[in-house]
Amino acid sequence: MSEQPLYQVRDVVRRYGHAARPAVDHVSLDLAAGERLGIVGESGSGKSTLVRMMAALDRPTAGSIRFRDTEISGLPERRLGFLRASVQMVFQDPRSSLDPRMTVGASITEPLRSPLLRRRAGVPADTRARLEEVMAQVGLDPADARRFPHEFSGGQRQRIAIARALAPRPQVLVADEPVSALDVSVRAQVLNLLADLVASEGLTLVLVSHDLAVVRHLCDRVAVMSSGRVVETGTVEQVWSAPRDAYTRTLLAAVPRLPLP
Amino acid sequence: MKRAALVIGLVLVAGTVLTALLSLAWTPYDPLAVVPANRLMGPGPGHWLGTDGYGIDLLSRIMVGARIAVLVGVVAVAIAALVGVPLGILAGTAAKAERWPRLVADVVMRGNDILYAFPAMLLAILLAAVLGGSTATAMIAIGVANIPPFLRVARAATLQVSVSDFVTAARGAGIGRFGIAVRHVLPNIAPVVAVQASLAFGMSILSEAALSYLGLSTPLPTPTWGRMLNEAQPYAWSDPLLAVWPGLAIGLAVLGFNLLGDGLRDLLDPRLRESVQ
Amino acid sequence: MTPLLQVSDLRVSFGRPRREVLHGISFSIAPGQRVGLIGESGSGKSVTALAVLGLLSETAAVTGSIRLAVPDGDGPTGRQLEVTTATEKQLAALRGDAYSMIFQEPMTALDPTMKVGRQVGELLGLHGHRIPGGSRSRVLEMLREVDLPEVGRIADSYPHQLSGGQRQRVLIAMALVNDPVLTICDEPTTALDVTAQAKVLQVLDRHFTQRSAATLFITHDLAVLAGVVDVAMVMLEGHVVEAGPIREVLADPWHPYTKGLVATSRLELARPGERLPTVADHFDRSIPVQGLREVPVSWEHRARVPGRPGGGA
Repeated sequence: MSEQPLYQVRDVVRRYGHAARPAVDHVSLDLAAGERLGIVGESGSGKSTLVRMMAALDRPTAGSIRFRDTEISGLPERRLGFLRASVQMVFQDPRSSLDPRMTVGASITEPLRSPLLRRRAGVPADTRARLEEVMAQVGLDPADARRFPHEFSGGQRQRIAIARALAPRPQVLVADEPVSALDVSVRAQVLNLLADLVASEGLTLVLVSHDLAVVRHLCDRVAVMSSGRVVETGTVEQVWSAPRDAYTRTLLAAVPRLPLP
Repeated sequence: MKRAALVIGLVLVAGTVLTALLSLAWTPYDPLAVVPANRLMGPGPGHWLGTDGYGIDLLSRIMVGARIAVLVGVVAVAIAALVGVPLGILAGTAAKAERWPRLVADVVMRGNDILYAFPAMLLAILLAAVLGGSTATAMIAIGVANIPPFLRVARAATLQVSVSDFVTAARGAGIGRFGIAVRHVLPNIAPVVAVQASLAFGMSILSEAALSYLGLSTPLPTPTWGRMLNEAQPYAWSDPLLAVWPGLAIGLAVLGFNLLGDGLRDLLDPRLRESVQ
Repeated sequence: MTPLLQVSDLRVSFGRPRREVLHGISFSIAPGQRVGLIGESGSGKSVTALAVLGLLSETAAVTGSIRLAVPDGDGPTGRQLEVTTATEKQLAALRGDAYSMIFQEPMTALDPTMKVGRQVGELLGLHGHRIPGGSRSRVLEMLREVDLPEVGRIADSYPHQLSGGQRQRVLIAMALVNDPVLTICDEPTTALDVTAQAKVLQVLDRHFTQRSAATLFITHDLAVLAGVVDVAMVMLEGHVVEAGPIREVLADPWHPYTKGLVATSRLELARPGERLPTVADHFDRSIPVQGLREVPVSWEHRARVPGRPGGGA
């Protein structure tokens, strides 16, 4: 941990239009390589906006985001190749994150065929081989590559989205509520898959969730967000067993739990 | 049910197009030959659809009219779609962008509004004044006049597609603005464009009829469906069939393109494809 | 007592060739009873909900029987309406009045061009209820009952001016305004975030308790169900595979699928870094599903699929 952190987020603000309150309000955090960071909060807390800015899919209104010591917040799209090859994202709802008119194979290999990532060091060149590899890795039959997303269940579609994120061999995986649009009956399978992949690929993970129990399973550190600000940070165990902030306690209490056996 | 509609649409469109092609090589009679002795004959074995006030075979005129209708429809819709759709996608994708792409989008949309407010007929008259009344004038005038609805439809659909996570995911995969427009936006807005095209096709057949009546389109003596309708006017009470045939031709062609447009929309959507097959 | 809802051997199929999605389910709901229906997407739970109020599209083929008790202003009349053969007019007289429904999507269920207070008020007028003090006061009272703040301002707002959680509570106010004897809740909190969900569940629970109203509550989330209902059915691939008092189902799930569901719903019991229990640990999806024929009207005893052993697969 003595080396330079992978991500340095400093005083980042994101304001949309003339909204009274910024979506993200002076957030600063560091992320070291290999770390697994959870970001917890309710909808509207700014957690998705924050990670989208970290993935350079949105731009801060003010503040600085450095990735491997390079400022990314002002960079034009064509110079973001180094980030795109290293940081990949899994979205909340695979019904929306997969193009319904694209075959599964075309979706998964899209990062490999993009002009920005193709022929970049570390990005696999053999598209077909990599497709079969990642499909097998997420537990899908490579023969299904020619089918369309609507032919798959919600859990399988999220596996497809995960395979797409893995395809360019990223260093960082940003997962934005990856199981909250899924049936509870498949939630654990997708979380187990993510845990396995993070371990086997040595990924740095940023996991956004409203459920601290999900974060607790996959992450070692957590930041709790409310109204665009980080209200509490700490190790997952510390926040889970002894939340200091009142909002964190409200959030923990709001998640419905089964009565204990 | 869906499949039946698509098949009927295909049959009607194919019928119109084949009739138009056939008329290039063969018609039962000369569509221009005036035979006063044969005036206003009813349908019969010699003239299947009868003859008009000049004794010209109506079937032959309908066949040649199909040629003009298809030609004007295809070219006008092509002009409108080829200009309107790319501009609409551009305006739609740049609407959320910052600085100059957004400025370009705004300029495009204001230009479109001005064109929308400009009557198609006035445009055709101006064009005819410059180029002279011809089929080409009609095609260009109808095509240009049809750009605004294509642009609006394409922009609205693009805005809808642009907020999808799959577009964001494509950006995250390093796909540029152009790549996203071609790979994600275009296939996803194709259904609404197809429907718009089928509607525009019907409208352009009607517009051509109006323009040829005003002498701003295909010059005399070439028969068009619109002109045939107008020529049938004096006989509306005595020989209504004279108006029925071109009216039926217009109606069936327009219906065919509408059904085809609907079927196409379903066929282009992989989620609906199974229900069509 | 006559049940409010009596479903027997309900089968629903769609498409051509016909594909059956509900394979003969039977259950009943007594006045004041809270029944949960749990299942994953595609299990047939939403089809069941729509069928009960006769809301399935006309392409659906429905066989079996669905009987709704027809109450008048004061209480039960002993009359029953057979939904599968009822006219649209007969059904419309019951829907939104004695029987109401809350849908999943709060974004599309409200008319964007009408103030929400008026939308709630219209439902009052629709069924001709005379309200002492006028409908405005009843609307405000209803908005207050679903814990909306500043009800006067909310009643004069358009849907887009409200948050997702507020919109869902307006929809709940609309569903409950005529004091229904049975409310069907089809995933009412799935589109909401946790804090809004907690609020909605609290509002529903309080209403059902105060009015002794019955509910058929449908969800994929066992943990949501646990706090709301007394009895539950577990649905899988168009069959009810287990039913009984919710506490017993949770404490001692019998069907392998239910075992898996209970295990996988307890995320917090897994130690960090440990593999999470999944449904597949308990239940093999390749084995054909066999359903219950009938759920006991009393719901007092557990209903089990006969002739099949429990335990892991």
